[in-house]
Amino acid sequence: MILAAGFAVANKPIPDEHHVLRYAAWGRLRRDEDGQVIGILPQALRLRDKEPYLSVTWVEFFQGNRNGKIANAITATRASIGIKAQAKGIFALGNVAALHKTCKSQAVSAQVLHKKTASNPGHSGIYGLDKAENNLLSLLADEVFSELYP
Amino acid sequence: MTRFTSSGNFIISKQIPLGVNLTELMKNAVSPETNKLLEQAVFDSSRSSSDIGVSEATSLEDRIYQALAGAKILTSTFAMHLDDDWRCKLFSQLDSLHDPIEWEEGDKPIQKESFITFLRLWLFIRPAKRPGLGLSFNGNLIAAWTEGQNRLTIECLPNDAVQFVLSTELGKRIVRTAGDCDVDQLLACLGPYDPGRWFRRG
Repeated sequence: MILAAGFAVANKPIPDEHHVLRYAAWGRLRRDEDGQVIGILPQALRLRDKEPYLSVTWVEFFQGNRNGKIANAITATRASIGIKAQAKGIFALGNVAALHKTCKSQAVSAQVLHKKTASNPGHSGIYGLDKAENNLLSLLADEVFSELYP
Repeated sequence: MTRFTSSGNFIISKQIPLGVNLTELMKNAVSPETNKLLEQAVFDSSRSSSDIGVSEATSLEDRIYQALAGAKILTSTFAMHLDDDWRCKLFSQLDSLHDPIEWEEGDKPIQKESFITFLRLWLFIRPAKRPGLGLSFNGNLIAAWTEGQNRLTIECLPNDAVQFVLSTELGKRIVRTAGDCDVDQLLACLGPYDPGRWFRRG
């Protein structure tokens, strides 16, 4: 994996026009009654106890064309959180500006910051979701993180 | 009593204490036979809180296996109210949700109280259209009905409580709301949004 130059500054806000990728585990996927996956559930974006931010991966941190960046971001996320090769969870892509706008519509001030880790140089965090109610998490799941990748 | 939060969510205050006797309203809403099952479920939910059926199990696989077995045994209590096809699909979805390959660190298997709430939810709404199921990281079962933009997601919490979030097309607008209530109050909460759009077929 080759990293793009100039983006490796920890805790830097991610530009509005960029995108972040969230892994949604198999149990947190929206399915129809036949089991077909059609999205992610709001619970895929809910913070666990004592989790200060929602972990995501900054797509434009990586090099390549759009698909290449997404593929590299998926590879880095898989490696960093130890997702098994056979796992059927999905990656949901969201635009940073849309995320800010949606949070603001529900009176939540969110920040998306680059938080590079040793195992995932594109690792980032969405701050402010500790104040998010289910309505906001549902909006984010349905309208922001709506582009899905296996 | 219903109150709205600043974001438009509404919360119905609990009219019955958690995990105790059924209200007269509930008793009148279902048959005597179903009442017996509901009362048994309340009795079961009043026992100690844990993963379903989990006792001394320590490994992830053991805890998952015991939780799943416990859920299936609980389901058998309600067998007469679940047709065979749905029971098979329910078990299949539960198995799939508990695949160890899919497990994330810190995830809990299905919790007994959540599953009892789900079974009681089923008895109350008896939907013709079945939900897709999910599982929160703390072991609460999630039932989701999706028809295009018309989406209803219900998380089954312990002691008869549910959290719901919905989006629905009303005219040219998509209306969204969320709330907390007890199982027996859910249909009243969903009433203004024509809940049949999620539960009916066709």
